[in-house]
Amino acid sequence: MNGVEPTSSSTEQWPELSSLCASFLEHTPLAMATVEGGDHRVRYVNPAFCELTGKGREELIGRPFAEILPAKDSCLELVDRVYRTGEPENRIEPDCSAPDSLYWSYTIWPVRGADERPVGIMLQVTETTKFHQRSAEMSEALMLGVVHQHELTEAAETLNAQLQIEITERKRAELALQGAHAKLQVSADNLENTVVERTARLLISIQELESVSYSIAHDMRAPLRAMQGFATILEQECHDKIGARGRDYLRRISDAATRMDQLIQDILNFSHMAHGELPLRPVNTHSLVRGIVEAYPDLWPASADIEIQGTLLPALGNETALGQCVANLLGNAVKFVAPGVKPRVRVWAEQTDHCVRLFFQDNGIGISRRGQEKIFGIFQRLRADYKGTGIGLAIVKKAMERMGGKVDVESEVGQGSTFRLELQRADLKERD
Amino acid sequence: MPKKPILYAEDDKEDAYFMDRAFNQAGLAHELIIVPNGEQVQEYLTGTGKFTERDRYPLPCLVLLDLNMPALSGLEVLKWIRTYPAVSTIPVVVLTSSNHASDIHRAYAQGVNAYLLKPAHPEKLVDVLKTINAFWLGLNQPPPDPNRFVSE
Repeated sequence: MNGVEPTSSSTEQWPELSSLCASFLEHTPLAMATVEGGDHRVRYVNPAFCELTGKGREELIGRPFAEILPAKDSCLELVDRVYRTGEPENRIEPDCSAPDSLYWSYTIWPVRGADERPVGIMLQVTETTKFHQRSAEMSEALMLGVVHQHELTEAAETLNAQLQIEITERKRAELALQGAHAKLQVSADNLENTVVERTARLLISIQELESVSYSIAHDMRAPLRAMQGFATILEQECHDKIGARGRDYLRRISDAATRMDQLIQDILNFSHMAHGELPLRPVNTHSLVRGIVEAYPDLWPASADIEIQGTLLPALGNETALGQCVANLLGNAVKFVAPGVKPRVRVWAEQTDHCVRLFFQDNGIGISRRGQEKIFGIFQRLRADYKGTGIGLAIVKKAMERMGGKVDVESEVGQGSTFRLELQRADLKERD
Repeated sequence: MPKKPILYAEDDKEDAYFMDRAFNQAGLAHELIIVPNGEQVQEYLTGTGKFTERDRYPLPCLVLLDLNMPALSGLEVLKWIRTYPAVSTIPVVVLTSSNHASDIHRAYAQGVNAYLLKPAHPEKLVDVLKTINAFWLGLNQPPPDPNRFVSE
């Protein structure tokens, strides 16, 4: 042996092995007991065992081990086996009787007699509760943690996937929105272009229409002049040859041509009132009406009495268009009288807060209520026995509308008629 | 020396006929030469085409213009007359059935001397011609020969 030899002094103090064993048994914190024979009678218990079982040594010695074990403890079976086989055993047992889950760790080995056969067994018990439980708990917690982590990972992956989908969706939506926006912009641009184009086309159409009207006016009136002219020449040069009947025919040809000419002029006037430009300015209605009465005596029968009462008030309008309206109304007023009646026309004006009203009152044949509803329509004629194209009042209505005013009538059959033109006051416009 | 003629451009045969008849009835001392389009006005005034003989076709004292003619319109003829030095000062009177403000404005803007509407009844042409004669060929002082002022 190369090891360090114990010093002689220490050898002297070190107790004998048997007393060392006895001291170890008495002072160890490990609970230990010895049982003897097949019925496992307790032969020895150390103080740690007494403390563990909560019983005194005198209560335990000599009693069968089975009696001091908790009920149904499988330890006894183990003790039996070790006694029979002589093989040491280890076992950890749960204590079912304990309120908390307790564990007992048993280490059991045989005590051999002279013939090496077991005569009893030595038993050491340790309460492994806390450590084992905690380890189990920790292991469980760890397991749970792993499971939890797995779940969390899965949840996170699911969320991630959803988020990815959402992001993709959102990007798609954003793109779609951008696309829609672009389309909308294109549509708006197209619409604007379309409006501009159509407006331009419409203006061209109106211009074309006016140019067509113009051509019609010129080209249609030329043959009418020819008809009138040749009828006149024929009447002059062949007066005697064609006789009274022939001259009547010629007069009818000439009259028809004249009516046609008037119709064309009226349609052109109406077209102009409907589409032409009518810039509005303050109009001195008094001088306008007086001017028309005085400047065109041919328009009124010599017997007609047209009287302007008071001073007519200025109004906002288009002088040419308003002049046409006044001429048409005065023309009607002196025309539609009963045969033999001297036409009498009164013209006056009234003013309200916003407008000027011109009144044209006549002593004519009057207009029925149903007739009043129709007379402002184009080509509407109520009486075949009075000449006319049925356009005059339609021109008045259109012109008044274009000037921001209106025309209406009060009448009874046989009681004459009063036409009223309403326009904005000229002084209001100047104040703006 | 015979009086200078009146040159009348009119594409409508009937209107030309009425004018010719009215001219004879009015008994004017001038000759009336009627051409059917604007091109012949140019040929007449420049002495080209069938109007090369200046003795037979002397420069007119007055040009009567219809406005609405095919190809070269009355307004185009008027514009040409006013820019062609040898004839630019000749009095030009429009005689038309158009009372459109735009036509009247353009005619004056191109330097027309008068703007007359064709009477609705052709027999009234006699009065129109007598008035034209009294004013433009009577009262009115005609422009001197422009060649005298070429250097100015």
